[in-house]
Amino acid sequence: MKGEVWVVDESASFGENRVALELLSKGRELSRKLGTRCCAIVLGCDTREEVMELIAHGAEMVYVAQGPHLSQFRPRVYTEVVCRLVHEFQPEIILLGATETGRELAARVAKRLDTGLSADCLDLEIDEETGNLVQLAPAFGGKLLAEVVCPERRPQMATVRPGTFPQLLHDPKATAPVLYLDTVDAELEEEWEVVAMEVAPEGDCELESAPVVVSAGAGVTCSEAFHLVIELARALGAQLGGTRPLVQRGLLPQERMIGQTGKTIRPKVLITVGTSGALQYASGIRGSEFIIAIDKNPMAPIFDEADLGIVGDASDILPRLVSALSSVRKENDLEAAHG
Amino acid sequence: MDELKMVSAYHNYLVRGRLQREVVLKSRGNFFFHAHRVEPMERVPSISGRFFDRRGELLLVIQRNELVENPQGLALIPMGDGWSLISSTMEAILSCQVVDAKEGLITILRGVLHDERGQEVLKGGELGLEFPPELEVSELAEREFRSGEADREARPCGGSENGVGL
Repeated sequence: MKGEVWVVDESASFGENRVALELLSKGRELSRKLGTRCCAIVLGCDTREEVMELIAHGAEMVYVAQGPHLSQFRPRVYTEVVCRLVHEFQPEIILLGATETGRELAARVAKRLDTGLSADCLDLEIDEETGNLVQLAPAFGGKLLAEVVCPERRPQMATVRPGTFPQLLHDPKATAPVLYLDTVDAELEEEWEVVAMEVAPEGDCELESAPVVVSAGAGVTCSEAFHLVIELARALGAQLGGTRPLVQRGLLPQERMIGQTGKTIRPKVLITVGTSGALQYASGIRGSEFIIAIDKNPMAPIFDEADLGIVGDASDILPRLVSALSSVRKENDLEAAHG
Repeated sequence: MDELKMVSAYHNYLVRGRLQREVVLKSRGNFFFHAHRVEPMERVPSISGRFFDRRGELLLVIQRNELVENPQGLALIPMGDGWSLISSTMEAILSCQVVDAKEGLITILRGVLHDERGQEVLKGGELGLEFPPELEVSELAEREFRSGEADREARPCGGSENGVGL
């Protein structure tokens, strides 16, 4: 069917995060406005579980290209397969995750198809007048948010960062047609060959899935204050994150960086300390359910994002907060001990 | 060749390495095989059909795992996550194994079934069922796909209201 909204699922080949499930929720919304359906594209070797998962999370149709030559992400082969599918089925919109694989694949496909691509979109809408996809993406080094459209070329393509959109709930009753394609025998030579694959150790950073996050920014100017931020995170059982300046100073590892070029988080509660609220950072926290901001500058933009703002010095506020939390915890422990 | 199948989020049969929620086969004669859909909250699949042995003689008429006509004394034995259809000589005619997928179930059927001419028409192995494509009674998916009709209701983002497929 022409004019569909497609979401490319890459995990069958690369085992990456399931950003495709998040994109399906936005894809459904866009497809409703266009009067079409939202479909998933799966490339891989054994795609069984992925197909069922995609249907459970909103795919109204799945196109499956499977075979041993698709078992690993090979950019030229994947590009060839996707482009052939596009030529045959002519989708209106293609969404991919802004992951390492997704970014490379999106760029190659867009170039091959001579169409536009917006990267790291923060939101997607349909222009009611023109039916074009409006892609909200950072521009000029993240200092602006631009609304980008691709009025002439098709498909319209965008990559979206993991954590930007929520997933639809799993629906075990869902069913969908699946077209298994006789691939697509794209036996192209790659410039390189995968010799071995090794899964990197996960570590203990689970920012994207943490229900509570404490985040520190450049306003945390001394080691004592930073230590207090860590104490607060520990007291709350929260994950710790921070802005680029803290990562650059070596106080936090790269995987704990929150923001446009770091992680996008959606916790239930975010306590952000000494983060001014620059656009690059704000884009990474907007999905949080409840934001508490602590900053000594009453005019800091972070207070525009916060549900609760505390103006003051972190060195003054955090000790009181940690102390109060410790008291509450002790009381709860005593109550539990006495039944 | 390209194949269009209806696939369920919850349970599917494996057919030539591909998924489909239901399998219906019918020969020009009397052979019939139906692997029924498995709905959420169920786990063990049921089959219906009319099967014959290698000599073309009636082996079994089964209706949703109930042995309706059983001239050769077969037995359906529950086994772990599945069951096994066993002959009177303890030969496994057809066995069913239910495997957990990430968010659902996949059934692998193994064994061999024959039609009224004694010819092998269905075979099950590691990649699931294999059978001559002309035997299959296809679902409505083909028609639906070509017409481009959406078969799912819209549901709000993050909501629990579900669309229902075919």
